Amino acid sequence: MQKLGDFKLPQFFNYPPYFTLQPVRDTREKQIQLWKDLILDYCKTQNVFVIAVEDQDFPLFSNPAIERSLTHEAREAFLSALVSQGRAEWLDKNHRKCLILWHRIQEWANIILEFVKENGLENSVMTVEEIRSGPESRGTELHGIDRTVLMRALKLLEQKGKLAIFKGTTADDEGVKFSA
Amino acid sequence: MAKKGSPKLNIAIIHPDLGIGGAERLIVDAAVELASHGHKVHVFTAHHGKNRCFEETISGGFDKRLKENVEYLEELRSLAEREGVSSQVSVRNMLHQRRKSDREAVSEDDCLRAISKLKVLGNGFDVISVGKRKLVRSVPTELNKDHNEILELAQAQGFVIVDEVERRLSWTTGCAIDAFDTLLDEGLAMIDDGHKDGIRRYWFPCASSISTPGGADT
Repeated sequence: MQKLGDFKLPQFFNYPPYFTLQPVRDTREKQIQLWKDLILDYCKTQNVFVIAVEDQDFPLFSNPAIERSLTHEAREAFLSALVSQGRAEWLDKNHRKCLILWHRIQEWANIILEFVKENGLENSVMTVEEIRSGPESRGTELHGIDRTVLMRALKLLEQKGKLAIFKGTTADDEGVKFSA
Repeated sequence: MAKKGSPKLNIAIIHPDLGIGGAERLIVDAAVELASHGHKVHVFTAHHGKNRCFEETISGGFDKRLKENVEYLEELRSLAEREGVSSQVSVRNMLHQRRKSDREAVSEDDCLRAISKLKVLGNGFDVISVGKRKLVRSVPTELNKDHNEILELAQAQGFVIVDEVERRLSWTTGCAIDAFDTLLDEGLAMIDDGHKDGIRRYWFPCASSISTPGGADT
């Protein structure tokens, strides 16, 4: 099986017609499902949060072994399908950059709550940067999380009274006080 | 008709929708008659409505394990989708997986004979020879000779182009495109516009070995 680094690529990635947006509805739906799953899977294992549609280097968009690349239309179609499913969001109205939510924001919020529990952080304070890159984060999914995604999850938790966000003097000092 | 004292058989009848049509009548007659001769008849179907079926299918004399059957057909369909093969499935592998506990393996010959017996009951099950391979066709649409010819051509590289079809089969462009459209609509073909020569290729998952790496053409 072909691999991208240590990521195993599925069979369909080697089959040329999958790189052309199919005209027949049933076939296209099947195609979109396969690509959606591949994108989510890849982003999750490689910790990728943002995909630029025009990125020529994004490895999923082309397969040099079979000399095929996804057209802009196809890329947009697959990413839009993820957006409709609530698994992604367009970051701009021209649909150039897409935020991939291989965990939904609510799921990230739950992961943060777990993190608080595991590390006994109730009632204590931590900077946003520490949450994503501090020693406690190592080995957890929070390590290296995209800052935008993290802030969204934190804000969601703030609305639910689970924590309070406060600004420091610089962006790096932005902090969080976890509730008891 | 079985002679007296001849061995009793396990017979499977596969039929998508056990309604009240002519094919269904034939199946029910066959099943009831076979059951009355002492054979064990199992009817597999994906749909059976108690309000719209022949009376014998309820009072029967033959087993109609409905829920299991629906799951079986669903399994077949999702296996076909996962493998990227639309409608043609490796029946032998499917049977082998299903009957894991059986001591005897199912040979290709057994499969072919079983399917040729099913053919009598109509409804789309058939074995077609495409080049060296035998495929089980389970689509309701009858594939005509033209479609089969395209499938034959596709054997060589797994895909076909319009030009080739016109040349080798002496068809007009209109005929070729029509045939391709039908095959696309049936989910038997997929288009590929990605080759650098800009010529559209029609790929046939059933005609190529997806398991071999590449699939690239020169």
